[in-house]
Amino acid sequence: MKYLKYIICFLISNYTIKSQVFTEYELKSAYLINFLKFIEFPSYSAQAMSDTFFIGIYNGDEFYNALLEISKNRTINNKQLKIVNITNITEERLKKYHIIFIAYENKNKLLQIIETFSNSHTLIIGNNIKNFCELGGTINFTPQYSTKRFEINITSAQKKGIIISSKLLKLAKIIEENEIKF
Amino acid sequence: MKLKYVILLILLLVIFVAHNQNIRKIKKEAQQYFDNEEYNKALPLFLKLDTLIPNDFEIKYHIGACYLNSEFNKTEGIPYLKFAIEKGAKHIPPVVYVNIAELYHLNRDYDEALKYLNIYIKNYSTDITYITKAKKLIEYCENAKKIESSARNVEDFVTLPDYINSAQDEIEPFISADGNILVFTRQFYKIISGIEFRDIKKFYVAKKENNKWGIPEEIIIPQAKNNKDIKIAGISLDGRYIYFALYDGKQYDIYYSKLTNNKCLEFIKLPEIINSQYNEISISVSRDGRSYYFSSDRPGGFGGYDIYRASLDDNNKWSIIENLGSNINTQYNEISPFIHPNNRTLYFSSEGHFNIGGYDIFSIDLLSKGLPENIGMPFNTPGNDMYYITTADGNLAYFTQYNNTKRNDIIEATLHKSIPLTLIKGKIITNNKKINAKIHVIDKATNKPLKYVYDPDEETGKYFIILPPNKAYILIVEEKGFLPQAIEIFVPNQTYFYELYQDITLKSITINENEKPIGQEIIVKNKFYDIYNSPFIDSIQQKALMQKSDSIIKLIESIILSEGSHETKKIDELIYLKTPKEKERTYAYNKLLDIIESSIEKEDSLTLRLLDANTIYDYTYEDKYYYESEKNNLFTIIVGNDTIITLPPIVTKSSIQIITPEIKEIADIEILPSDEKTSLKNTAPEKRRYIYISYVFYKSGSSSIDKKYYSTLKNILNVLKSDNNIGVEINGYTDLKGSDELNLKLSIERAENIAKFFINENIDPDRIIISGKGKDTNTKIDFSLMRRSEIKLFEAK
Repeated sequence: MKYLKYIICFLISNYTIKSQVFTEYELKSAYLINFLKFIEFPSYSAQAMSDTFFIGIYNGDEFYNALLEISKNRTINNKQLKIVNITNITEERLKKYHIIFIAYENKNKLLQIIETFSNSHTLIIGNNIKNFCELGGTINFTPQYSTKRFEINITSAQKKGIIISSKLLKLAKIIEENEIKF
Repeated sequence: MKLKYVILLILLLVIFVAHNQNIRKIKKEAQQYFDNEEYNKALPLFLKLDTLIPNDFEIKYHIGACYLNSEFNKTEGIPYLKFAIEKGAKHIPPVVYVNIAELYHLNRDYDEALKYLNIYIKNYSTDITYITKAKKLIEYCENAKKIESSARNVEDFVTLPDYINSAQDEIEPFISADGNILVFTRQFYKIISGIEFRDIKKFYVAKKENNKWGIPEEIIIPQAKNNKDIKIAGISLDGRYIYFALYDGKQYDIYYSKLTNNKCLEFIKLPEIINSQYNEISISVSRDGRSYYFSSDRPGGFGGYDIYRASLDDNNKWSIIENLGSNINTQYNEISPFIHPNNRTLYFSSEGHFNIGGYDIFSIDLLSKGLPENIGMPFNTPGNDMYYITTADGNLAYFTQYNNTKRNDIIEATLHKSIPLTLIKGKIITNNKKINAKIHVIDKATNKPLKYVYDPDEETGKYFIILPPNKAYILIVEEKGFLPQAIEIFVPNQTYFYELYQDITLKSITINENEKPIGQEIIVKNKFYDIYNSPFIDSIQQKALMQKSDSIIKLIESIILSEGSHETKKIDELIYLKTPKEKERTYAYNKLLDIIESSIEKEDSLTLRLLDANTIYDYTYEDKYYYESEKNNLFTIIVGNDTIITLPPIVTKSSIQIITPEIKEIADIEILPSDEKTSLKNTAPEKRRYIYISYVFYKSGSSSIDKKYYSTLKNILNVLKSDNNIGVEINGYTDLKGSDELNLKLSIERAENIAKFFINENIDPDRIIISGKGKDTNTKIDFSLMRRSEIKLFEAK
């Protein structure tokens, strides 16, 4: 039994696999998929009843491609993943989506989008967009090398009836929604 | 009865005579071939004779001599020559002593070779024909013995996979500066009635993707060129052009040809200053494209082939030619020059200098006044070692070893080097069908243009620029239909090699589609990619494994108790998380998802930050220019004899640059003023909460940090920089060899060197705790695991 320590040491030290570096697109896609595990949609919502998770990507082909690749043959809580590259953000069916990820958008359009989805249960996530949460978005990625990897606007989540795991909240920078939007 | 015996006797006699006649016939034939120097034909006959008449020293001598003169398996001649010397030294030519010494030398048995050479010198010094050779061999052997002990680790030498190194000969490898394109020659052999002959040779190109060599594809060259004697002479840094040496019946001259879709169709002859009336065979182009280093046997040199340099003058004419001088060129042949993109290290092969046999590979720093250095064993062997070429980062070298005992193969050597240069791999994207761009590079500090003008590939828009570090440069991009655009980039000071990927997109701004553009838009996307990325994800998983160690212990215990096969499989999975190649990607993504999930689960912010710090982000810079309204903003830049009017430079910084100055801004923790800072150094051990651990391992006796750990250290550095409340504890350890005292000193040095790395990067020494622990008596299995520094990040409890 006393050799166990060395076996462990051996296990750890000889553990070498080819180096793997990810791109920003892959990393954030992996976050999006993981968010689904730490988020609860209201039980009466179309999102909760759906047997497929819908993630829409807006203005981000590179994110779409990465997410498509990562989500291949993958299920989350026994539900299929469907990744959609959104061309028309005003489509009504998008309101049934679980996540809409906005890679970039200008402030005016962004406000319109957030407004459109304010009465839906869709989680709107921004890719490091300035003042995204302040403007009413729910989750926003922070710039590289930030202490917290993402920021969350709890008020926005509450309005949509979405429950975000306390674990996610602990890792996030919490943003208070700014009442003055302009 | 009697008659029966008589018939039998006659029959035996007939057989005997026939047999003897047969032997005589073979002997005659063999001797004929031997005298005609057709050794490959003579050898099988002599071998046959050896079975018919065993222990004949004369036959043995001939066999030995045939092997000596064969292309491969030379050293198989040793026992034959040895027998011949032992049994019939007086009856065979005394040169046999030199011959056997030659074979022992090839077999790397230098002492034995010297033994025979000394007998020869002592007894036959009047034999003028071979005495020079004998003396040369003595020199080779003595040199080899001198450098044998300092031979490099053979573990770093890899023979390329068998789809590159086939059963045929693979020779003369040429590699692009980024190490992703390999061009080589395959010499085919054919066997006719048991005898091997050289057949055709073909050229191949192999591409490396995701760190793996693809299947090589044949380079098609026009039949007319193929009929002539042709060989590859060199490659351009970007791998887009191949240089060929072509024999026209009188001499070899050098041509270049663009490699398009594995075809080299058009051959363009290099200027006359390079191609003389004599032979020019191998060539290497400098980083800026303004100098050619080549090998030529033109008269006026030091003897045989010499290395020359041809350069462009200030008027862009090929007017300057120089022999590289007696420092480099000797009375023997100097061939296969390779000028490293750092523009100062020249590698070449020579039969002279401090040589251990045949051609050896040498290196020389052209800026210092030193002599060429033999690059040592096992690069150099008693046989011919040639065609040495390295990647721009200096980490990988390729060459062929002609080791005379088997087929030639291309060898890849890892040099554990990282030469501080930046390789920009860029791409110009426009709506134009063909890219017709030029890129001028200007050193911002001196305002002097670099002389070379880069021409992106017209099909793909790709370009390739290598720049020295710690400088700002201005790239001026000229493209048809656009105003020239200046782009300012900064290549940070670095101690190792970087690759920068750059996309430049040029777009016209129009109001209506068919109208004249009113402006233009530029988007520059820079991404720096650190090629020394250590297995970072794995180090995170190592951490996870350590956390799991309790469960592993339980698992192992249960296996020992139950010897159950089910558990054994489980532990196999834990130990060998090996990936089936085709599923590598999925596997990597699984790891990524798992790390994020478990980090969220554990609220482990640090792992997420480390993961983020190791991710490649794209940085994009955009600018728009409206022709009418911004007329007065144009810049005038003088490049050589030309004046270029360009748009104001778009200033881009590399991502590495961004880390340092902006980290404070980004970090949302408050940074305490220095006088209020609590010293992390004084945190008592029980007050340290460890959050991360990583290791640096060392070679025996060494305390210097191997380059491969730099990226791990850089990631730790980023964490330290982002949060002043994190301290670092560094513990040095050594293995059990040597005295306690020396080991303690070494262990301190190891820890100190890591600390220096952080201090040099402006980490406050007050946050660093170092200690030398001396011999590591806890790890008992492997010395290499004991020689380490342990780097632990901690927070004060």
